[in-house]
Amino acid sequence: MRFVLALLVVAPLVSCAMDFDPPSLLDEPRILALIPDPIEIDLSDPTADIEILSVVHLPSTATVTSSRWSFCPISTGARGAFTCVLPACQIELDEIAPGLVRVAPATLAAECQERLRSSGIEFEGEAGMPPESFETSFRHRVETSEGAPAEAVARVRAFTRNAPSPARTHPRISQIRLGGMVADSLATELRVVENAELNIELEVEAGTGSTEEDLYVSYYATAGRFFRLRTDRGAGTNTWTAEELGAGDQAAELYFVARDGRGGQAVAGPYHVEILRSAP
Amino acid sequence: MRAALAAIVSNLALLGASPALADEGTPTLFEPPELEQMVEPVLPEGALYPAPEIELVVELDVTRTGTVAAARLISGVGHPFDDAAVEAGTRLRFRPGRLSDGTAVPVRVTFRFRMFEPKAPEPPPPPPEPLTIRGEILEKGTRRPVPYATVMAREARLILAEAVTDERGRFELSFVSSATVTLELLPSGHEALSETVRGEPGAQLERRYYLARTGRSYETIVRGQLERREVNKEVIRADVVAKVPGTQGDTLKVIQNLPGVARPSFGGAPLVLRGSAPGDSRFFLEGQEIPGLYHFGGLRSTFNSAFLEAVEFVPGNFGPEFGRATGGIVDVRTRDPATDAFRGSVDLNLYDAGFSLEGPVSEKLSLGGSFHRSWIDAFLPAFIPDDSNLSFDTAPRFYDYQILATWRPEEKHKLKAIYYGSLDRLEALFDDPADDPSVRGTLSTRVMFHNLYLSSEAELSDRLKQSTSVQTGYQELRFALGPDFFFDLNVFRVALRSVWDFDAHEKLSVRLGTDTRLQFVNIALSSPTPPKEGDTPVPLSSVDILSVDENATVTEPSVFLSLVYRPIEALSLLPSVRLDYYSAIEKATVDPRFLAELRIHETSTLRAGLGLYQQPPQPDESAEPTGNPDLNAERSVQASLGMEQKLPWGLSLGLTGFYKWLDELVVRNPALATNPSAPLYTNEGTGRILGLEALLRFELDDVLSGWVAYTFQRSFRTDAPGAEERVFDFDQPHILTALGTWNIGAGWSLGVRWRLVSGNPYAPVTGSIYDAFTDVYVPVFARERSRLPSFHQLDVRLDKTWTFDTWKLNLYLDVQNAYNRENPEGVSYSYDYSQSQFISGLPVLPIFGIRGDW
Repeated sequence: MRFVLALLVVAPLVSCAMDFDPPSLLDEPRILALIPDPIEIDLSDPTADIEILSVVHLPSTATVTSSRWSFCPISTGARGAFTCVLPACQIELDEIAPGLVRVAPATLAAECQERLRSSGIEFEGEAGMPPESFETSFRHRVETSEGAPAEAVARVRAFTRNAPSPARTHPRISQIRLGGMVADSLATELRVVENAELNIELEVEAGTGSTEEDLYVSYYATAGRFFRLRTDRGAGTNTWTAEELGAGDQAAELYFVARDGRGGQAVAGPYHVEILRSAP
Repeated sequence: MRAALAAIVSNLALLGASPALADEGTPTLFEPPELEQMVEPVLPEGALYPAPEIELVVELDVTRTGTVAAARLISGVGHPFDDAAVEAGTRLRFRPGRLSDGTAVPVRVTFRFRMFEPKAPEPPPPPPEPLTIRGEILEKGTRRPVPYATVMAREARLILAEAVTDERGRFELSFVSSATVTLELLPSGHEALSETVRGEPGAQLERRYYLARTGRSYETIVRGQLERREVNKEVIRADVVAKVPGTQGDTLKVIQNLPGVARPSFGGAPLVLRGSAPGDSRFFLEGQEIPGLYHFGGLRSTFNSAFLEAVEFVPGNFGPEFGRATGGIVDVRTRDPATDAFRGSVDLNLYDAGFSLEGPVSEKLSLGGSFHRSWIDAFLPAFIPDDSNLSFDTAPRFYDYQILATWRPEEKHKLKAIYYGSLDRLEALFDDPADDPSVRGTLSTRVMFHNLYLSSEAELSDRLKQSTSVQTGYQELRFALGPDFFFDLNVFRVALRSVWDFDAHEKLSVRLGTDTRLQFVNIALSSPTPPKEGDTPVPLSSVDILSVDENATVTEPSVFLSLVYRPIEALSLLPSVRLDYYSAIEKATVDPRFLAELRIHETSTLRAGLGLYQQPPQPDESAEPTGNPDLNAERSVQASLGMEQKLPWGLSLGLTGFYKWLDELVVRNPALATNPSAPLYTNEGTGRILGLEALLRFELDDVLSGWVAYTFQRSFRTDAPGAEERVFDFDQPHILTALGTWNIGAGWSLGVRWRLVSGNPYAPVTGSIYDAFTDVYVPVFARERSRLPSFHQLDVRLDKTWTFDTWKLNLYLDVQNAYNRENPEGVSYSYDYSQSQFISGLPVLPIFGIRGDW
């Protein structure tokens, strides 16, 4: 059975017939990251807050028409598309700033457990104790004046006890070199001839509670193509090529997002790259 | 003893009255006595002649009447000749001597006997010496004996001698004839031969003839008529399927063309029998379970067809001899290595190469062995696009081997040993993480088993048979993906099967047996929970990971009893029961089963079956900490009703309707969402399967043979009480397979297979949500399942066989998907599931193969 699974994994990769846009291409509104602070919830402190910051890429001509958030203290996980275990437990959240929400999860989790109990659903771990940890979910849905809505979920783990100490921290992108130059999203202007390559070098530091092996970097651009969709193990070396451009692509914006796969994230960008189109 | 003689009469003299006659002056002997009746001297047996020719002289007094009044020896040669001559002289008769006036008078004469020593009789001439012709008739190409063939020696229209070949194909003719005769060989099923033979009388000639086989009367699929303990059982003879398109001569791949078998996606390995999940059916070698029937992708079976005798395929309602399965069974029967001669084969095709060797070691012992190895790994990397992020450290490869020995210490006792194994291996390197960041690094799989099988079959009396087999072996299954995911399963297994068959009465047979196995299992994994039928796929990165390293000992004893009761000749009733115990869940099960067979006409048979079938949960479902040891065995109640009808023109039709109720199915525990300590699995799944199978077989004049199989079946599952019923993952309502082989002649044959199958169901994606923590999009599936477009495909195979006296050479071209149909086998999505397209199966694929048998 596992062998069949392996083949099923391999088959689509081997196939060259699948001609979809790569995930690195930002041609529509996209939520690039949902950054929690702190990364994990310690429910033993009932007063503790958690903030979620949404990093959204919008096409240059698009405007946000709706930004909606919800919090589910107990999620059904990926197999249930992160729906809430009880619809009644799902709480709508208001932004305290554009793309930023804050919530006191302990209270909401307790209320949800009470609702579960009254519905006859058990929520407990070993020996009748509450589970040591469980997954909560924050959903952010953005609708804009252009393109399809973007929706993302942050799967924040909540600890009833034995929360990681010290609290885990986000990774950090400590240095970025674009075309051999140290890049700065505000100060550096880059120009690339159509079909030319731009070398990208990243240095990423793991946050507390993560290792370099956990890290990987995702690459995004509004035009052109990356040689690799992701690089892993901290230091990332990649190439962006000004190719497969749209008719109106005169520039590209590049983003780099480092993740540890468990909530730790760091976003760098956008980096503006002018593209010198060759004559038609 | 009588001697040859000659008599001489001479020295005549008148006797008695002669003076009177003399006185009268006129009497003179005018006419001497003349011998009228010769008498030979009678000699005693063995009388020794003093010389080759002897002469004896006697004096005879001949009376007036011609008799001899007295005889006296004048000259002799001694006893017994003298006495014999005197005695013979007295018995001579004369015409009397007469005077000149005509008066008869007594006369004394001297008489000579001349006797010759009789020559010894000439010995009879010796009969002409016969010509002897001894010989054997063998099948051309295979060197197999041709028994029961008539052999005659003919001279013009006269049959001089006639014989019939024995089991070894040998004959002997002995006849008297001129130097040239015509020898005629008239075997059944083989070409006749007429030959002029020259041989001098007394010569002994030795001949060997190779005759080409004609017709394919025994190349058929037959249904077992004796000892039927199933409603629907197909017995596939290994020699049936050599030329079925799309199988490359692999007997076990032909199963996929039979009624009740769903078509696997991508031509893959899992067998879905009568709507049951792949894991619900079991595969056996001589009654002992085989871990896997096929190599990866279903390209080739793990047991070489060279040593297969038959495959018994029972999609449902099987007998109590088999258990631990709620689906169907496939039992592979091996043949004994050749006892008449050393034989072998070599074959080579696009997928793999292999050989087999076998032959007698002694009168009672024969050995055989075979080996297959794929060589896909030699050319597959050439088909990987340069820009693919996938490369192979170890391209897909497999091998399998079999070593067999059969020893017959007595005529009714056979011992058999089989050592066999298989390995599949693949290592692929992902240079760049794909859409799912967990899919990175090296993907490696290794599936392997090595088994030793020993068996004894003995006919203890006319009414009692006993068979026992033991199998021990090691099975290993390893899967790893990158640094984060792996699944290792190691099983050491010992199994015992023993069956006693007793004919208690002419109307009652009893079968009693045990089927017990002991397994030592080690499971180590770091992965999401293994996928289950009905699951909708989600990215690996977005689900929790289990880490386990556990050992378990699983004991599964079983006993079974079945009766065959024939109250009348046309009716058989087969009640049976099977008892199982599963130590992993510490539960016992009792499975009563019943089968009835009614022969309503010589050409028509009805069969019906009803039974309970139970199987233990999979090891990862019942073993702590990943599984739930409190699970029950999964159950199915199977009912079926079938008929077989022989039709004219070489046709036969089989129809079977079936229904299966499923319950106690192991499903994911929905309570896990709210109760992390809840067991992963429960027995709350149910299901139902119904269908109708039809098999129309044809065999016309040994020229055209094949079958048309159609299956209508529906299979549904309900994953929890009150949950909505859904279709089974491999629910294929319509499955039509038509295949045939046309024996064109002159070694050419053409095979075609055409399949039309409903597409598999799948859960369509209606949207997705981005998991910002892992950078993957998690699909949102529709409640209702969709269905892939129908599959249809034509496979064509052209064979040319050259048959030489002692070997055969076969070249074939097997073209799969001849009209290059783009059959959807699945759905591929863009990274965010906003775009999709079907994944097509293999395009037109010509496979060239060569095979030699001797």
